[in-house]
Amino acid sequence: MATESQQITQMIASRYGTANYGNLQVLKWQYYDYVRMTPSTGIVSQKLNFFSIPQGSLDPNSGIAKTLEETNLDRNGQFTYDYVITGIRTHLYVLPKARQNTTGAVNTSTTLTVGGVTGGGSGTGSLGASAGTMNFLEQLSGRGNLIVTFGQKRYFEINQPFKKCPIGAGVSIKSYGGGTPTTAGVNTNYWYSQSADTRDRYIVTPPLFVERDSIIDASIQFLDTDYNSTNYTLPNLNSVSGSFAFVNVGLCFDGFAIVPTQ
Amino acid sequence: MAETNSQAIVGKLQSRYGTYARGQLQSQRKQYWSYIPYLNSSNVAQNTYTFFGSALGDQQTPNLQRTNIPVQGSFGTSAFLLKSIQCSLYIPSNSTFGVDYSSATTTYATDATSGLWPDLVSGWAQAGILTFSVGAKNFVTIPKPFLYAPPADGRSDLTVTRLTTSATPTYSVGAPEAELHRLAEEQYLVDPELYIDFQENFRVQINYPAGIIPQIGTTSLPATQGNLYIGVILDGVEFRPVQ
Repeated sequence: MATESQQITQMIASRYGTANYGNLQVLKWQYYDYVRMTPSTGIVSQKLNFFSIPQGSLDPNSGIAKTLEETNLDRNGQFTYDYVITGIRTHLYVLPKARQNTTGAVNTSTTLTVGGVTGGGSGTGSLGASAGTMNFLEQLSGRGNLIVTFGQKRYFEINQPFKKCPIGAGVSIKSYGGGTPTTAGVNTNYWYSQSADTRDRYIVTPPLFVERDSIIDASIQFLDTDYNSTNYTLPNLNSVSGSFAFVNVGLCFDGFAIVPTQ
Repeated sequence: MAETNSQAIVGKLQSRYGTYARGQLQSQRKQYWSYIPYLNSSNVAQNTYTFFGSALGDQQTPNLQRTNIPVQGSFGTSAFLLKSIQCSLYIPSNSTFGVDYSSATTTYATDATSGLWPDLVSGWAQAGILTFSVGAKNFVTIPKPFLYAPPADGRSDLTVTRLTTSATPTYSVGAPEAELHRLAEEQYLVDPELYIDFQENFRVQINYPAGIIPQIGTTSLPATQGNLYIGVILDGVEFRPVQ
């Protein structure tokens, strides 16, 4: 039962408010949050926090203010609308060329988009090298736990979230390769991507209703005993310290927002 | 709410002499599309792309290839039930679409600059944000719309076999090729649907607030022979007056 002050507030809101909470509308919606996987050291953070930093605030790893491309979270650790979660996706991906690391010229076509590796696949110099970014991401995708808490209660614990909760979307790659071997030999390249098949999404059944004022604590954590800087450092792509590819990790809740009419 | 006298009079006139039967509607499946160039006239990528911002017949959208929207930012005399959103592209050139397999030195040998591969895998398709708003209110937000809301218009393949030139030809594999996802299952469904009323104004934009994404491909057709067009398709049910 509403208190007197709540009743008065509701009465004022219904008459003069900018939103009508007595008349709600259901919209398909995604709440998403992308964070940079590593700081400038290139070491993957042991705990990647999601939905804690809203638009306009700095991502601590990248040092860049988040825009709508990175998150649609307006409030620190809280959804703007009441929300029904029906699916969970993660997204592990290499940033586009225009937003790549300038150290070691990672943002050049030679390093970033050429599949071939000079000398036949054993050297450094591209994402697709045997010791390159793609192989690293494949190994990383077999690790980690997604842990999501609303309020004081834990609701999701998902092992290997990059595999169990793939993005279920993406470019359809028919073939990958090319490159120009400068010496005779086999030109081996690697390409990693999560499942792009939407049927592989992690479906939340029964759906979970989250009130808009609930405090969200969502993270992907690497908790195994193998966590150390050797195993969790992005490979340098060129012979320069810090020449690793920028990688973002995203967490996306699919579902329905319950929005007041205006 | 009761009709005013003027509305009643107009209604009577219209029902007797009008060109359509007011109040009687027919429905049909319908797609509205809008394509605009990725690069502007100075060959520079943009922060904001506004779709359905010019109507069929306008200078920017002179024919049905570009758009079929009857009115700028509105469905005109029709109402529309939006059931799906798709993002697509096309290249206005009658030549090789993506990878030019005939060019061993500039295209096949390196995927850095060939065709659409780098743009789809490391370029604009991997970024952006799509918003669909009616009036001042945002109803749809899709991150990375070319991934989350792909064309999803069926399976099509361009399969290439390449043989190296030698006394004993051998297969040469690994030519890079990619395209936006086309499986129907990948379709972005607007569920529950959105109803946009007659004459109501809407806006569809793809933004790159974190920074523009220049086109990467330099030997590709978009760079050498004309613009690459990106588009948004609204799929759903149209309600229009019976004539």
